[in-house]
Amino acid sequence: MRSLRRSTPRLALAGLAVAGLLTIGGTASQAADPFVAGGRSTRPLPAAKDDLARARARGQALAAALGLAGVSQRAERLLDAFEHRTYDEVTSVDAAGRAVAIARFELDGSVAMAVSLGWQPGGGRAIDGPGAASRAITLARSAGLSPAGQPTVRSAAGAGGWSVTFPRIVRGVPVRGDGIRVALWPDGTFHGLTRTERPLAAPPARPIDAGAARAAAATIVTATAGRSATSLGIVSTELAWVAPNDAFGGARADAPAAVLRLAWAVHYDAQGALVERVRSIEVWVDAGDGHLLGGDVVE
Amino acid sequence: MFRARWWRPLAAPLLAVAVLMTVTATSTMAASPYQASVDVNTTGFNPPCDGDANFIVPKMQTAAKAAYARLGHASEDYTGAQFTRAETLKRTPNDWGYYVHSHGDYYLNPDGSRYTGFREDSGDCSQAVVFSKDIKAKRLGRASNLIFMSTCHGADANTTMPWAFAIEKTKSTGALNQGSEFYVGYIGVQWDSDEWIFEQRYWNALAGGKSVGQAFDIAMLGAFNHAGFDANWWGTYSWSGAAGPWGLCQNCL
Repeated sequence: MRSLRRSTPRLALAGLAVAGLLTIGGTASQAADPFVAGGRSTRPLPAAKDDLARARARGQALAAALGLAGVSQRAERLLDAFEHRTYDEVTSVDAAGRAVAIARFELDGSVAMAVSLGWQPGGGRAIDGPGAASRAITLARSAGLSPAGQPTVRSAAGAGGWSVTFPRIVRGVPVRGDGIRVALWPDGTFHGLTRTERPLAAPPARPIDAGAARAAAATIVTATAGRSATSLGIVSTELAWVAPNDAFGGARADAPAAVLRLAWAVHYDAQGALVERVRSIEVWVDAGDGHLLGGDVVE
Repeated sequence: MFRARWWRPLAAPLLAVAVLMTVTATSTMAASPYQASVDVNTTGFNPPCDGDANFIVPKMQTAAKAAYARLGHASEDYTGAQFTRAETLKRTPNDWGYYVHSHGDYYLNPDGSRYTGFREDSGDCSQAVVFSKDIKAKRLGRASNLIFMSTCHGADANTTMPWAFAIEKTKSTGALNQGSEFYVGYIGVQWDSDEWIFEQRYWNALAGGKSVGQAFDIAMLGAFNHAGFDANWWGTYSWSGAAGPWGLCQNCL
C-alpha cells in the first residue's frame, strides 16, 4: 500500500511528462500565430461535416459559374497564419483524381480565391484590354462578387494573358493589396480570381499633411540610411492603407500585420552608385502621428 | 526498493518514445545527395552599404532553405562573405536546386553581350556580377531541379538564366513534360514585400503537396501591394518539386 500510494503520484507525473514530450512537437508545429518564416503558413482545422459539405456545394456552384473542370470536390478548412484568415479550400479533381481547380471560401461563404490549374492559354481569338475588363466584370459577378470602379488592365505573364484589378478604395484612399483581381488567358477564358478585404484600423482624427509626412520620413531615412540618404530622392508621397511590416525596424514580424493602417507612403528613388544595390525604397509613416509603420525596397 | 520499481511500467513506452524521436531525427538529418544552395545578398541592402536595415530579406533566406530541405535537398544557405561570385561558381556544378535573392539585371558582359545576372554579396559594398554565362560555363549543361531567381529581371522574356541551368524556356503541361525541372523568377523590377508574399505562398503550396506549377498559380493570387507584380516560369508544371535525378518526371502529380 505504502509503495502504491507513493508511486501513484510519481506515475502520474511521469505520465504527464511523457505526454508533454509527445505533444511538444505537435504543439510547436500546430502553433499558427504568429507565423514564423521557414514554417508552413497554413494548417488544417477541424470542421463539421455539414460545413465541409456546404463548402463542396459552393465549390460545385462556383465551378459551374466559372466553367472550371472537375468531376468531384474535396474540402478542408485551413487556418492561414501568414494571411490571418481562415477559409474552406475546395479542390476539384478530374476522373483520374488529379487536381484541376482550387477554390477558397471565406467562412461566410463568399469567394476568396479560385484558380483553374494548368497552363492552357486557350485556343480562341485573343481579346484586347477593354474586352478583358468586360470579361473580368462578367466572371467576377458570376462568382458572386461586386467589382466596382475603374479596373486596371495589364498584360501579365504570370496570369497567362490579362490581369484585371479592381482596387479597394476607402474614402478615396487605395487599400494596398485589397480588392478583386481576375486573371484571364489571352482569349478571355478564366484562369484565376482573388478577393481580399482586410480589416482597417480607425483612421486618425487629424491626419498630418504630406509635408509633415515627408519630414517624418526624412528623419527616419537620415537616421537609418546614413550616408546613403543623400543618394535617395523623393519621387512621390501618397496616402494608402498598408499592412505594417518590419522592413526598416520595429518589432519582428514575419508576416504583414493583420490590420491595415492609414499611412503616407513616401517613395524614394536611388541615384548614382546606390542604384547598383537598391533602386527604390518606400517609407510608410503613420498618417496620424508620423511614426514608422514599415516600408519596402526594390533591389 | 520501490524507488527502483515505480518507473518500470513506463520503461517500455519511454524507450519507444526515445527510439521514435531518434529515428525521426536521424532520418531528417540524413544527408541528401541532391545539393541545393541558397545565396542571399544581405550586405547590399543593409548597413554599411545601404545604410538602412532591410528585415524582409532574412525571412526569404530562412524560408528558401527550409523549403529546399522539405523537397529532399541537402540545403545550405550563404550570405555575406560566403556568397561571392567565386564561391557560387564553385558550388554550382553540384547544385540540383538553387535560390538567389539579390540585385539582378540584364548586365553588359566584358565580351560585349548582355546576359541576365545578379550581384554577389561578398560582405562588402563592391559586389561583382555573376552572369548566367559564368554559371553555364561551370555547369556544362548538367540537369537542375528547382531554380528560383528572387531578383529583378530574372524571368523577363529575354532572360538568359534558364539556359545556364539547362532548363528549356518552354511550359510543359498536361501530358507533356520536360523532366523534373522548373524555373521561377520575377519580371521587371519588383518590391521585396511582394516577393516575400509570393515566395511564402509558393513554398507553402509546395509543402502542401501541390505541384511546382500549381504552387505558382496559387502564389500569383496573393494580396500584393503593387498592381504591377508579375512573375514567370518554365519547366514541367505537374512535377512535385521533389529532389531527384532529371528524367521523365517520375514525380509528376
